Amino acid sequence: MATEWHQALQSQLDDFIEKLKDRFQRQSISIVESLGFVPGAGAFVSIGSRSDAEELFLSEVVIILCRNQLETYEASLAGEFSQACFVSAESKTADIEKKLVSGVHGPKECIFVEVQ
Amino acid sequence: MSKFNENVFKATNLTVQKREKLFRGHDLDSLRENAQAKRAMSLENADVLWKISAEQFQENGITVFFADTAASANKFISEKMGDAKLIVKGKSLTTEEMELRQFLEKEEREVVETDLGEWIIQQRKELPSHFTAPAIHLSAGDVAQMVNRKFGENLPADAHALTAFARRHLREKFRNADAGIIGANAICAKPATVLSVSNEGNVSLSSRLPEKLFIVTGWDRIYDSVEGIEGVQRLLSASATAQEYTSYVDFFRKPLPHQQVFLIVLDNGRKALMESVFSDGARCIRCGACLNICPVYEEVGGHTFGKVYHGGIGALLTEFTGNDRDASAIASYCLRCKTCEPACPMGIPIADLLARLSESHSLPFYLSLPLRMLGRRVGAMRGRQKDQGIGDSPPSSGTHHSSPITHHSSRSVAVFIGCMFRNPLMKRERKGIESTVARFFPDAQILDSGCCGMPHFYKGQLSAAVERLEIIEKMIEPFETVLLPCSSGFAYLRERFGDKIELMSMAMVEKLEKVDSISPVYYHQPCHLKTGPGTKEKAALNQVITFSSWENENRCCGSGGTYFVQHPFVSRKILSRKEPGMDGKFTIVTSCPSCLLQLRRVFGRGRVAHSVSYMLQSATK
Repeated sequence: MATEWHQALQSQLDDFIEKLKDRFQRQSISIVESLGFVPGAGAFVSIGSRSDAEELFLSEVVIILCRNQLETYEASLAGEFSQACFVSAESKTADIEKKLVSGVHGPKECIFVEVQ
Repeated sequence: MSKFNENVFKATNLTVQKREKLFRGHDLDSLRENAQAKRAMSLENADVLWKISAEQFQENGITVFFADTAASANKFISEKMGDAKLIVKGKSLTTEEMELRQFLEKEEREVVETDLGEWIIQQRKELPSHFTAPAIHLSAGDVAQMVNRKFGENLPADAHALTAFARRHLREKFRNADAGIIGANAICAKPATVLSVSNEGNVSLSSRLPEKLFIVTGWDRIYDSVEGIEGVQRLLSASATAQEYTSYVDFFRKPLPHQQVFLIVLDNGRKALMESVFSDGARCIRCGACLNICPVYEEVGGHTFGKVYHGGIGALLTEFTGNDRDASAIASYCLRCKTCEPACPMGIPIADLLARLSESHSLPFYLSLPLRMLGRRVGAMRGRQKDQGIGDSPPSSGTHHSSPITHHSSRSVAVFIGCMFRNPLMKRERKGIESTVARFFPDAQILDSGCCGMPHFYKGQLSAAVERLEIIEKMIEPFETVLLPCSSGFAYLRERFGDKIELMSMAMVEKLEKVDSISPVYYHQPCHLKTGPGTKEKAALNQVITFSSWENENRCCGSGGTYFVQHPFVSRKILSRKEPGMDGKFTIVTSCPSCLLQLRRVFGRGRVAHSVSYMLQSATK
């Protein structure tokens, strides 16, 4: 998913991750770029290959870079893609006694980074 | 109370509370109306929309298969699976209906449910007990016991530890699976897109890692556009799990480079449902909101209340996707209390549809016998010459205050007493009504012509109900206002004859002054007053009666007319929820005669009063 824009931001992100490294210690982290995000709702991530899916769903922490602000949820579907996912939170369940547990299959933490 | 009951009770109540909190401040009615209209429009055009979307999916490389029956869908999937041995599967009611997992397991394939709740019940060899929370009936202790026994672990009864184990166990399954199966919540026709929601991420993994992906959906899941889906989608997550958005909404338009994708569209009775008089039921989005609020479901859970589709709506869906014997059995558990209807985001009139469904079914013998016996007893108590039974035509004009249908009065107020006040057990309440009329509505004419027809309607005796309504229409025609002391009769007739039908207790309020009681007075809200103008009864009565707060005032008492005869144990369980913390001297006031009799079973005669009698008594003092 690397793009020129992505690379240009790499150093800033390294700093960001450095600040949070205690929290991320011993955890796998992936960084993905979204096609767009709806403030307060989530980000829309295109999935073009199996490895894209692995990046988004198999790490313990996923950082989603949000650059293009979208007005509505529907707007995120206007573009071209093969498969995609609108992510609004980490992987979670309340299937056992309604107790909320994060990281049931996918990331335990999902961080949206708004890039201005 | 068994642990099973408590698990379901606690879980459903928690979800209801969360949902109420989420909806607070939102214009829920407009959201619902908008979504219902979009859904209805898409369903009306399903044929065209499926044609458009199928063509586009095929162009995009997704194979579309329309299956008339579950058997043909299973056969297609089996053929296309080829030599796939390990299959990861997401939660899907449609595949439960098809018994797809069991079908593939017979072919010696390993099919692993990956939704945590589904995985748990798969290990326990059980069926799901809720649309969206399949293991809602189990405690952490039950799950720990299963994991420790089956996988040789020593885990505590802790949701975090158990979930972490499932994560490790299932991660390898995802990585090594040959094929994935998921359900779809919606299909958008333009542009052709499959939409599937989840919180766990298991759908995302089951669908993207294996080489073969099978997406199974129902014919009724089609929508015309993204805009059409969005409103429904938000209501689905809010109604199902009290979330504004689920963690993941997955979209599929084309296969990934390593994939083959098949979209299986199942009819299996859905088209017939959409074309029938029950078509409102086709709007169901399987959110389970009706189950979370259902007083029967929270006591008995899904396994008693349906196989795949539970609750009142489950009876209807089972009728079309399963068989009418199972549908009848499920329908018999429904109280017809209508508690589910305000909770349904799609505005499905579940109780009314079940009334129609009951019309075409005869009850199983073991259920119909007690009803018939009760009918005979009531008939005898009413002093009727002919033993008509509860299922026969309603009684004609009554005794001393009878108002012949041909009689026309110039008076503008009538009091329609209703059949429940003919019951000898309601003698005192009847006297109270008559005294109230004499004192506060001296010009009113008493219409003592028996039943409003509601019991017939909800038992599915529609022609008798219609006949009764025609009689009542003529009877009340000369009057501007018709007062009913019975809340159920009021709700039923108000819906059919509009504003001229009023609840007698509310009409009395302006004629009385506030009376303070020494002991606490509690309000019991009858289920039929949970919607419409009856919801304001407590506020109106509060002008006269100072009610003490009672946590259980809105909770159903389990009466349901003859329900306590049909399902005595369930009825008693529901009733027991009204009891906790009730001690000493107090009075419970209600406007429903049926609730009143039921509440007296636990609280005693002296502690439960009809609203009209209670206010008259207070005024007399």
